[in-house]
Amino acid sequence: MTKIRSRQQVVDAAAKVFAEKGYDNARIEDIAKELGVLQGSLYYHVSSKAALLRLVTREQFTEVVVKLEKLAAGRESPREKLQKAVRAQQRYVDRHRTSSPRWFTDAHDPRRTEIEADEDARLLARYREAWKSILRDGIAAGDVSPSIDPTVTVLTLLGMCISPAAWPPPGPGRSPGTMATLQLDIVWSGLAGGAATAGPEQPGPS
Amino acid sequence: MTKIRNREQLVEAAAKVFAEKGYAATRIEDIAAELGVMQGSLYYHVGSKAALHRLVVQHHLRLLIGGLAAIVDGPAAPAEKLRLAILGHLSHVEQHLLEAPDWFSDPTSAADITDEETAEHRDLVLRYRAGWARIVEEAVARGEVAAGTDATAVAVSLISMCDYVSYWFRRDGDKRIDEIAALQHEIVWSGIAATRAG
Repeated sequence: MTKIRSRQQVVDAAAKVFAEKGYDNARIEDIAKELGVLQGSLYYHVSSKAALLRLVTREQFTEVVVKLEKLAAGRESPREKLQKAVRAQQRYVDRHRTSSPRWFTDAHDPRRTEIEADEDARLLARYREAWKSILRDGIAAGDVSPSIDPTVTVLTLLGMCISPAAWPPPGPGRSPGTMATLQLDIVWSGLAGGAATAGPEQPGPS
Repeated sequence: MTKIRNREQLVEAAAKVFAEKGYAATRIEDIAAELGVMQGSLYYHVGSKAALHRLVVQHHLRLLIGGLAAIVDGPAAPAEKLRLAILGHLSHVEQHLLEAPDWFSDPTSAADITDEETAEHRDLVLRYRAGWARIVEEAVARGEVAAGTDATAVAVSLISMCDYVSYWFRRDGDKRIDEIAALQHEIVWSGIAATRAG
């Protein structure tokens, strides 16, 4: 038997087991086995399977937030930044079907402690802020219309790419990547502005 | 004590209680009280709170479909139809804010859902999608939206956009629901890119 060296080690092992077995089928003893420790020593570090899931979920989403903040601070054009942000969001939702809704559609998990709820709220605020900063930079650079409402625009884009209404699945040829491209086109150019075409920009009515 | 006359009466009572208390806080006995019947007679008609909730969700899907059909069949131009469709969905969400989240969730994870019920639920969602897609197709036919646009993919995206509002909208926020509807219509019809002179 080995020893648990850090909380990170526990989170990594739990993430692996949840991904392999699914949360419902994963047992605390599977995670203990993955770590090569006894179940009891695992309970010394975390109180329950649900608490472990919250740690894993927060870590996964933190990665998404940090990546978006880096992207937002980078040198690409606002259009490119938004395109990458939409794709990353779609990938995240697609990869973590069971845990990602926590941030966007199940914000009121009653099992969370107050501290956890507070941390969650701050993380989500950071995420939305990074999106908004891309839009504000776009306005400053003259690429994005100054009359938009950044908050509603972010929530519009997020709503599309989180796709809470994607059941039943919309069918073949509509992969997350294809949907992400379409959704950014809709929001960037508008349906009436030639969205959903890969062709060159059409001159608007003068 | 009165009697439950039909399923519709049951669904309406449940919808009312869910709307007032939210799904999680509602107990079967609250719905029985609303109907003026004993809890036992309620269980005679429906197996669980979750099953009752699904009936209520389907009730709301039917209302959304009815509202959208009137818009789609109306005389307005596609841009106006789209505006009305967004406003219609968001207004319905605003009226039922506590229960609106989950109207479009996958119902099939429920343990007690039957194949028949799944098929019925799927049919409702697809009919709603088809209504939105028809507006897009009409705009394509009039040359207002690019040919080759995947109307179904657009419909799923637009319904998701509207559905997501039920998760973030707050009545005490700085914008009314009709203002949000107008902004979302502007975003998806005209886009956010700056229109450059020349």
